[in-house]
Amino acid sequence: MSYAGATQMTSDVEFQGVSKVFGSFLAVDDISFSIPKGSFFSLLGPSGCGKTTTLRMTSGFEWPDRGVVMIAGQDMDNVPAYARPTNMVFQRWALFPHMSVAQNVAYGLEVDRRPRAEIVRRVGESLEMVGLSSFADRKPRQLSGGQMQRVALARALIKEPKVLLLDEPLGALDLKLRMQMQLELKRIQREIGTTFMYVTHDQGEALTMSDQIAVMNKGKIDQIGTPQEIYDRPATRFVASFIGNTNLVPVEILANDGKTAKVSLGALQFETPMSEPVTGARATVSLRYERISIGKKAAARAIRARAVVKDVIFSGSAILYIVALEGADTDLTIEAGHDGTSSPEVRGSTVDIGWDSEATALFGDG
Amino acid sequence: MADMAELTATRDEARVRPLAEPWRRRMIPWLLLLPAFAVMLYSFVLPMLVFLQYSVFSFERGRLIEDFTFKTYVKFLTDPFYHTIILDTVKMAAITTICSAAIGYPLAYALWRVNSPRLKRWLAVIIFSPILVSVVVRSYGWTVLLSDQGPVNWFLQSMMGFSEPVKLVFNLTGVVISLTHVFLPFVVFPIFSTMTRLDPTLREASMDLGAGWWTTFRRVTFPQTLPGLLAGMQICFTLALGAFVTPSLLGGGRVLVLPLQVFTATTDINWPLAAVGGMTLLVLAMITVVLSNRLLRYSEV
Amino acid sequence: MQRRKAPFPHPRYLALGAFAVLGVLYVVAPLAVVVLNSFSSVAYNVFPPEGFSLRWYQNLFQQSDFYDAAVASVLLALAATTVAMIVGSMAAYSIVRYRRSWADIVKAALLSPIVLPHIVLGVAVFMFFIRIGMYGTYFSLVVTHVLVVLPFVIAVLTAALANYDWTLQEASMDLGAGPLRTFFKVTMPQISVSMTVSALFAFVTSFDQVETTLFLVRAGDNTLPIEMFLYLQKWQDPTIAALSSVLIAAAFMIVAVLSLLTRNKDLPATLLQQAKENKE
Repeated sequence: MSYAGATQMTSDVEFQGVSKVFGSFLAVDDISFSIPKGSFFSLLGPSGCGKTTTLRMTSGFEWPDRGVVMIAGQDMDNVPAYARPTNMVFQRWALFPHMSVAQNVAYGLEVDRRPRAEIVRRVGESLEMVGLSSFADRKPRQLSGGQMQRVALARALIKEPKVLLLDEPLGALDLKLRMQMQLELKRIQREIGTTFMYVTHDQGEALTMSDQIAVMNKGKIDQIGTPQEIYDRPATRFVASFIGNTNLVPVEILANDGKTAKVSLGALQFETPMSEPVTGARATVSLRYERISIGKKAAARAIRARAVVKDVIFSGSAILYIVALEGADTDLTIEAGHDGTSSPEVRGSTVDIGWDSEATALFGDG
Repeated sequence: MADMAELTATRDEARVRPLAEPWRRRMIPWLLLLPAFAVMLYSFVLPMLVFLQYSVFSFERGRLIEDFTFKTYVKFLTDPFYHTIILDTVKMAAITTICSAAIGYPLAYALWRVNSPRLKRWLAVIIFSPILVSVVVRSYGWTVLLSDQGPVNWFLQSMMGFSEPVKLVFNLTGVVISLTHVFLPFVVFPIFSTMTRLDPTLREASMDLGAGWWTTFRRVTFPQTLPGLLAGMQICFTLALGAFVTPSLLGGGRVLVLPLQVFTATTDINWPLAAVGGMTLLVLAMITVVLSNRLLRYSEV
Repeated sequence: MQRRKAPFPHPRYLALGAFAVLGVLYVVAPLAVVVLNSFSSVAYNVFPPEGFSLRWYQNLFQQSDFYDAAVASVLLALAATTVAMIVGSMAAYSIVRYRRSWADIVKAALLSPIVLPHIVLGVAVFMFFIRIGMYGTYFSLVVTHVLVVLPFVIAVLTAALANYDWTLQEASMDLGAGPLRTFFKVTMPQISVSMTVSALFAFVTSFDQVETTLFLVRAGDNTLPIEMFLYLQKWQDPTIAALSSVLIAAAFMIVAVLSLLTRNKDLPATLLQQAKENKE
């Protein structure tokens, strides 16, 4: 590969207008995206949204019915899975049960007929990287879930793929271990600099690890952006509701200049930025739980209202308030950080609440 | 009209259709099946067609007449001699099946209820390993066992006070005893299999509700293992219909069944007669399979 | 714990136990009597034995016909098993892997020879091979044996492959192994028990064929069961008992090897499931 070619290559994976149907079910609907070299890219969405199909089209287990899949600048049309510069960590890891840990990891190199000495050395390094050197001779069934996960990672990385594909690899682990593995995956990705393409339905995982997230819904990509963009400025109502916790409040549009709109919620009127072009008089405002202030802090917010506390739920690090907005037939949920000092508002009391204009997003009802 | 055509074309264009796979990839499943189909064609389909063809030829005065005729069928199905053969075949298969079920079911039950895994394993090995021994050897064993001076008659005479040896070989009795032995594993197998798949809590629930052993067996265990029993009986009956080695070794020429008739007709170069006998046998086997499949479906509901 | 106190098993269990003992006796008796008879000192069957000798074994080992027939049988069974395993694996793989709409029909078609009585098949292939001038060829003989064992092989292997975790195959392909390599290095080890069982059963079934082979072999090329069958129609002396004892011993060895290879307590159960698949 020439140097010039390498510099031109800015993306490791590129989808151009890709669609895939199963029978009459449109699993992936005309999606396009490109993954910058060396980044951690997540496909996030509920089950059945087409994210796994997208991953499998990248690995070569499914063929697109329309569109082009490029990996490292090359069209993958008719390139079978075993000839692609990608490797995959499977959902349940798919370790070969009849092989030891070392044999599993060595498999990819043996298939390529690398010299014995090189295989031994690289397997050793790989196991070192995932901290399993002392488990080389165990069989997969003698390992814990987290260890199997690491073996799967070492096995997929040993061939130094251009792109590492991960299909919900942490789904089968328990919560604590999952958090720990998230950090470790991110560390490894940073160390080796390989492009990671990560499929998950867990927004926490995607937000924690990714450089970029593509949120998928019903075969389409709703939004691509950094975790913060996705979280703070959801492009669609689906993205807003799927990621994080948000109040979706029906409002009436009073005025609309294409960028911001003046809306009314019962007696309350306020301005909100628009995420998408909205026509018609009715729309929905998304208002994140934790972006609403309650009590004294509300005074500092641009938009203020009064509400009656209907319920208080203590959940450790935070306190959830369910309040009824005065002058509107609307309940809001508010998440307030719990610092151990502030005395929570009590049920039945009337409190001040408030939020800033950029904390909201407006979506059309259609 | 042209507009309409254009419109549908664009709409089709818009809708994504499954892309036809490249023909090479589409051929792979068929290529993998090709050798199996070739074997089927060479040793099954074509031979059966030739067989069918011979059944509509006739054989007169030592000569094969290659003209289409149902003469041989008519002769075969109207001759009382062949009626007896058909009836004897069905009778032999039926008695064998009943005996196999009567021995096989309790044996499977015992195998299922044995607690010790070691004992269970040994019992299974003993019941199933005779499959590995040639039918010729096993049939020969029965001729020795059942002969006039064999162990069974010795036992009957010296222990049970029989004065004369009981005729056990070279008649239907010997054939049935031996055939039952040959097919027993095929009956025990499916019964035991349905038993192992039974939910043990059902039995316990029944016992818990106050049902005694017999009621539990009759109302819970037996109905649920009926499909296995029927499957075993089906296998046994079809195998017994086609049994050749055992009737020829233990029948001593006196138990004339269809497989023997087919064999004799073939060696007598009366191929049309062999083919008609064979077709009759095949039809009997197919009727059995169809009927018992119907019964099986009914019992599984 | 309390159950142990029962001083005596329930009569029902005694009855069942007694039945099991009788059943085992019934199963073992014809084999045991053959072995006993092979050591008889006289040429006719008589019980209790009148004396013991090894003369029938001596007689057996002097009969080169039996030896030749045994070698022919083993070679034929090996050839048929090898071909059936290759052909059957390919077919089973195709049926299970690609899950096309035709899979069930194809499978039913490939299993259909099971219904056919062997004597009918034997006569039919005899007539056909004479018609096309392939009578008496080793090719025809092997293919016929392959046909007889193929349904069983396909039934067992499709059942095994249906339980196989196909993501292992994807994992192997993903790591750069082509389809063939993947089959031998990943898929086959996962279904090795079923492969062993079906190969063994194929071998034994082919080895035991009488009806299908009777018309296909020329005199002098007989397989062992046919040689024995024809011998028994003429004589009943204990030479055949000696030979049978050798075969029984061989069967014992197969059982021993099998139980060593597969220390799997559920083996009969899995086999039965396959037998059921087989039937369907």
